[in-house]
Amino acid sequence: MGDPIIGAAARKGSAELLILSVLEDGQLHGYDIAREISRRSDGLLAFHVASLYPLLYKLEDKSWIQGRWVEKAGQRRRRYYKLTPEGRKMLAAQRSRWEAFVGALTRAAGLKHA
Amino acid sequence: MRDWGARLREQLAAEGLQPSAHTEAIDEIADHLTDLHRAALAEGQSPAEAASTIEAELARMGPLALAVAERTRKRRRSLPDTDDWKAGLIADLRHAARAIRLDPGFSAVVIVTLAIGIGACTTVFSIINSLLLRSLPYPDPARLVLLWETDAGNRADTFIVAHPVYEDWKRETRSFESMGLWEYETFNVASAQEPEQVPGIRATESLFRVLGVPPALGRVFTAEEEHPGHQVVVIGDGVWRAHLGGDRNAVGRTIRLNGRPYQVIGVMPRGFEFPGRGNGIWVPMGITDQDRERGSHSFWAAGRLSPGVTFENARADVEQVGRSLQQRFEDNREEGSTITRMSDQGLGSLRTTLTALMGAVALILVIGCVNVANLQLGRALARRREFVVRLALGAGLGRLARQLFAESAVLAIGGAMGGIALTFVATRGADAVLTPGFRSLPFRGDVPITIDGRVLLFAALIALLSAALFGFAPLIGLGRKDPQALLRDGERGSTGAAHLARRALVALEVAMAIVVLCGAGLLIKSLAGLLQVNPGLDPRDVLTLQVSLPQENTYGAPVRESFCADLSRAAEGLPGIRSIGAISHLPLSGANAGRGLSLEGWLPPTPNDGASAGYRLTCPGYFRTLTVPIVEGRDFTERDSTRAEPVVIVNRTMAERYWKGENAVGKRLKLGALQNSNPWMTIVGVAENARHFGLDSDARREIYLPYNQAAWPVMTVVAKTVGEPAAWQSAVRDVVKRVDPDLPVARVMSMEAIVSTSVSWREAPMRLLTGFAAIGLLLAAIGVYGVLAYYVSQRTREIGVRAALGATRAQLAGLVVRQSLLPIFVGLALGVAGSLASGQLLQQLLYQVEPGDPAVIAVITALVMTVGMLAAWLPARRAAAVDPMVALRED
Repeated sequence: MGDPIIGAAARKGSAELLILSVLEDGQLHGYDIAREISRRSDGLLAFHVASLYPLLYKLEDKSWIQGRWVEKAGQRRRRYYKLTPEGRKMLAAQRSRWEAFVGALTRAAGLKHA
Repeated sequence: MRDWGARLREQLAAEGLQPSAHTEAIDEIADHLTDLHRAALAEGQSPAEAASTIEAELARMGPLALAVAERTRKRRRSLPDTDDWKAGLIADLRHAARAIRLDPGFSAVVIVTLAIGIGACTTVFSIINSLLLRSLPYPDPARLVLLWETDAGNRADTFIVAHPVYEDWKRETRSFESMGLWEYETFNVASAQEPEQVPGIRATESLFRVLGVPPALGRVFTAEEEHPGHQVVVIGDGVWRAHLGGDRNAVGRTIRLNGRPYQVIGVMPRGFEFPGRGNGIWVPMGITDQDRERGSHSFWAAGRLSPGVTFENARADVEQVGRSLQQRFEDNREEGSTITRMSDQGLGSLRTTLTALMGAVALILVIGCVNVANLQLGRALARRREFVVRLALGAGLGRLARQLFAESAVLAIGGAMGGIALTFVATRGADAVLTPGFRSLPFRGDVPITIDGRVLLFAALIALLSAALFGFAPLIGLGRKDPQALLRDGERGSTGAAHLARRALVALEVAMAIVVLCGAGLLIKSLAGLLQVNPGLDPRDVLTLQVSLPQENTYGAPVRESFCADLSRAAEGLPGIRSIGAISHLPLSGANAGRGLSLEGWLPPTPNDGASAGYRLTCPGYFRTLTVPIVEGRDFTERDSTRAEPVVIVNRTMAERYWKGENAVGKRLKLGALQNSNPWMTIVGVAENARHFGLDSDARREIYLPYNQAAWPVMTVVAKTVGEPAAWQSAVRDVVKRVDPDLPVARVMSMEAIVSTSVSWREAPMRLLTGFAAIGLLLAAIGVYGVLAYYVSQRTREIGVRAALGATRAQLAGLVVRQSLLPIFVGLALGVAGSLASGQLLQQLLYQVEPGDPAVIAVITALVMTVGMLAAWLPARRAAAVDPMVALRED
């Protein structure tokens, strides 16, 4: 992963961070991942189907998350995703990078803390 | 609600993706869209707004299509798919369990139907397993064989063995570890208890080595004890308990057999009843001078093959010795030797019977499966949408088939569990249905019908087979069309193929029901015909009971010369007894003996074609008691004693065979060869033929000798009673007691019971097959009903329109009934053809009925038509009652 904190990779990484974060507490299926991100951001950050799934596939490819089909009583069979140990490490690493980035941005641009 | 999966598929296809290659991804995303749509509606969007929300999501699919394609490509490359496959199977089973819970009515009907079919099959299999497949109750039973002398020209024509030949076999064969000999004898066992008749054998000491079963107490006899004069006995568990009170120190005690003291030297373990059910006495064989003749075929022989010797090699060995004896001994000129497997003894007709029954229950199971398949087809229309969509998403027929099989397998497992439960109940009741004649097998003791691992495995296998049979029915009509077309007419489903399939299945099950019904019909007609056969005697109001009158020398002068006279005197003047007599071998009881004869002034056409006849001894009064007319001459009297001229009565077949056109009375004959010292006996009477060997077996030549002149160790007393013979049982027992209080009495039965027992081996399969046929008919009727009921429910609207347009109720009902006619008629034709073909299986069980018996076919056809019409009538009545207004408002 490229190290410069500010860069294309990091911007693209924001979506990855979001997905990894919502999976931190347990497994979710695609719709719930999108909904959870939307809920946590008060509806400001929303994924379209057409962008969510390519990302999920990519994360799965990197073995940061793992999807599997689960059938629960009284429900449709669904594909749930969960963090892999590797994904958990990446989440921690990305978090600290983003914290550094956001901290730097706040200071440099004179933003108010959220 | 819209099917977003289909919409998604369209969109992806528009991006150039082949959707059928990416089912998983599409399933997942379609779920997402469905959730979104539902959430939009829940938020209060109008259906149009909600739909456009989703359409917005679907607007730019390019990146998604690429990602999906990429993902599939990567997955294909790294396919460690066993996990996936297992997970898929588990998911399938879960899905199946859910589908079953969702439709409990359907599931219950399927499980009950399968339980009946599987239960019937498993029951018959458990009978086969217990009777045919279970090995003999001796160690290493595959090495046990019976040795036989045979007709020189025909190995299959076996007969029992002469002692010298047995000795030759022992000396000259090389394939046997041991060989033993025995002879049947019934013993009167006297103790503090009631005297009792117990079947037993005289045996060589080696027989116990052949069988390989050691005694539970004491020892078996030694070769030394085989010489005359050793009064030792080995007893069975039953005799030990009944007569020695189960005394652990019984060895050394004395019991009286046939009035003489024997020392008990050993007690055999419980369950050891060789050579047959109830056998409880083994005494050493005493070989007499008469036994040393090569022509004296008196003994049964068994052998244990040496380890490693095959049955075929041993047979070749014995047959070789037989050929050598043929060369060396005049008496063996016409004889050969052979062996058979001990386990095969007495299985011939049972095997046929059980094969026929297995065929019948297999058909019942198939009928059950056809019914279930029909139900599945009906339900499949409701689930069509699901299948079509999944197919359209590229699930593939194979994937769907797996899913369906999982569902069917879960149902079949339920059916198998029900079937096994039924089998448990049925085998408990088997004793009632399977008469002892059907169930008792040589060398096995009492054979219980039980359920073991093999039976359970069988149930599981046929359950899976059934699942395969009915499980794939819903796929009918799905395979041939492309998914697009299926999708277009998906809502209504393409009923044509399925409806046709359902009617074809009904035809099939009607046909199979007819095959089983015809089989049952043929057996019923056989048995009915057989019971109509005039046995040549009147079995009504006759009580029979066996007494044994021990004879040191079976063919010598009677030890109790006054037996017959004592018997009639004891019965004289008793109010309930109209007449009394006795016979050595009661007709239809299975007891028979035959003798070679010489007739005065008659020379056999060839030396090997000498005169012979069945050999029976009677007391005066026997013929009158069984109403067997003496057509010429007279019956015996008390004056026919050892001091009077030897006399004989012959039956009509005998008289017609040797003295055709002459009067047989006054002619003379003797037992055995012309040159021997036996006395000439004068024929004093000709008796009408009676069927001794079975109702299905024509009368053969018979001679009757007076018991006063020639004895037999077991006599059956027959008494004609006033009314119901059972009521006079104690009176007749008292008569025997008055003759001799120590005479044990056995087998007290009415003559009618003896007649019906003689056909019981036919009766058991007849009853079973009739029961199975009834089940088959019921299932087929349910099949007809099911298809028509479904037809009516699907066409309610059409019927309503017809009603509105003025069709009468009768016309409407006719419309429905007509639907059933074709499958029923086709089924009838197929069924009759099938029963002609399969009737050969039953041939051995039929009596004067041919497999194509027109009366049976006519009755069965009428029965099936009636039942079929009844089954069609119920839905037809519903169609006739359709209210046009309600029907038109529907949908």
